[in-house]
Amino acid sequence: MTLVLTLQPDDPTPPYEQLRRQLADLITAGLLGPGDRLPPLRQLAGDLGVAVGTVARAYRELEQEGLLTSRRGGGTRVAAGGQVPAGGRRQLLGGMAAEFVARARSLGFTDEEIIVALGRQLPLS
Amino acid sequence: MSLIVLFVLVGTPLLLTMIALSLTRGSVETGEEWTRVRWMWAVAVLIGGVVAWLLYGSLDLGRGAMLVPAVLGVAVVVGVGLGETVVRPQRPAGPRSASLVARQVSDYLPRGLTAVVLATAVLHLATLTLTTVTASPDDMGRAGRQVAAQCGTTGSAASPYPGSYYSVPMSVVFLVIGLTTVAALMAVVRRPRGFAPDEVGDDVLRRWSTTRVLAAAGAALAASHAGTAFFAGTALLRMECQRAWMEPVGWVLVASVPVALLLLGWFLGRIVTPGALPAARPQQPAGAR
Repeated sequence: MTLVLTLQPDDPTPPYEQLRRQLADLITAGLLGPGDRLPPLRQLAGDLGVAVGTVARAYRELEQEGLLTSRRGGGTRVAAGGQVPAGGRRQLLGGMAAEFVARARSLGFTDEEIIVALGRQLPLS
Repeated sequence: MSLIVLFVLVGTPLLLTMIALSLTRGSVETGEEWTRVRWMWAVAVLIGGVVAWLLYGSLDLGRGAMLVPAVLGVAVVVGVGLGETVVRPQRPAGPRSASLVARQVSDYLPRGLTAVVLATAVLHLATLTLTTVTASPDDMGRAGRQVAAQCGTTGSAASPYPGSYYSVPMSVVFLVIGLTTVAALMAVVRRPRGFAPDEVGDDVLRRWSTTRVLAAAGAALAASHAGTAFFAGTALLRMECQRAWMEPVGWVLVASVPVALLLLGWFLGRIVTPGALPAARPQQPAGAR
């Protein structure tokens, strides 16, 4: 499975913050594990069509949060003792569910309709 | 002499880069790039041919002739490299995605072609090393221009023989070919995603590009080896008196000429063969593709 980052040009969130959030979510969800190497700044910036500084800022902020570690010549990796809070994975999912429910309710869907829609998306449940 | 070669080695890539940039002016439409890439190759061969012809006329005693294939090779490598990196279509607008896998040149090198190019390079460098070590000064005292042997009281010599007189400028040209190839391969691997409908297609495009760049380097080496081996082999076989190693080595070198020419044809075929993109895969949710 290849992990992919996506930048939405029409999203008002600054590109570095979109990147920071997606990377943080991937680490919190456990899809990026301790020691996993991230692509070089230039590669990521080129693919996403942003300045190298934008990616560098996202990496730097994640380093300050203790999620990434950089070494000269060794690239940027997911920190071994990352400060992912206990239960962070569950918390992340809970946050996503809360966001979805809030958006659906704001569009006038009832709780029953939301549950039915979710059930259709999860055929095994 | 060294100034002319230096001018050629710096001027030719610079001129080709300017032409490549002018070919991309006004943006290249998707699907149109193949035409422009072929224009880039044609221009590179034309400019390489003119430069090689000028060099042939300005360097005496066969030095120009020995450098012709290598100089033409530099132009081909630069032209193919620019075609795969600079002459690219505009990426479509909209969301941009990036894989979190760090790309490395070694992941995109076709094994068979890489092995053949390396073997050609080793053969050619071994030939140049042998001829450099075994050459002697000519009757005018120019070091490394002929091969000579002593048979009792009489001696025999043959030239032109690719000793240091020829091999030093050729080695400089090869260094440039090697550095240009590495730079082009790195640029191809760093090239942004988004020229193909999905990641698989993007990898396929990247592998084609590395194949063409590598094949261009192979063509430069094979062409140059054919010329060097021909001059060296025939010089060794022309000697009236020979040391024990000269005849077998001479035959091996002469035999390697048609092999190098066949390889040259194969390398050129790998450059010009267009490929087809795999069908786009159905879209999957962002985050894990």
